[in-house]
Amino acid sequence: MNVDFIFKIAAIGIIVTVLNLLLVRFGREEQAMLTTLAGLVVVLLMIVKSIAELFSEIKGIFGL
Amino acid sequence: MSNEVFKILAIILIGAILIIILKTNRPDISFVLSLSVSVVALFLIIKTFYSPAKSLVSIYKSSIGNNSTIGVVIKAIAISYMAEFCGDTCRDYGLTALAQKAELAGKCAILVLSIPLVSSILKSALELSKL
Repeated sequence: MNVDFIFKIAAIGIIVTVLNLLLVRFGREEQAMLTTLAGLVVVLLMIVKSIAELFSEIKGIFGL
Repeated sequence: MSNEVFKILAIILIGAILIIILKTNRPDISFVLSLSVSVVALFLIIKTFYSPAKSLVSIYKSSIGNNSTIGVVIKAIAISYMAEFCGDTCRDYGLTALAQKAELAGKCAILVLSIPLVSSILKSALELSKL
């Protein structure tokens, strides 16, 4: 069903790592940190919705 | 049925490889990735095993007759699975204190859930002692 967002999150992580390395190499430490933060926020927004979906599904199935 | 199991196992292994790739450079995104692999695996398990488990529970309900006890057991199973999911994800990244808090929350919820059963047992024991 939603297997592809595992690969989306992994791709975001790899891209953020590469961008971070490049920005640190070019001497832009602040922008490297902001890139890291932006990647983390994007990934968290993706996961929060699906965690809420999982919990509500479990509640519905087990009748809690 | 077995095809779905192998699909779930393959997804978990691929997720483990991706998590290990990201773990040295980006531990934060690696944590979120491990959480998402767990969520996807749980969704697939629910989708695969929901209807067989439901038929098993309906057999239990028809044979026992008293529906409240098996309901309490099923709710306790759900609470303990969710507490274990949360606690294991925290423990993987070294957050032992938070994992223990998650398990404590699950234990308290199950204790509260089983109060009616315990009170009915105690009530019948009291009535037996009066005889």
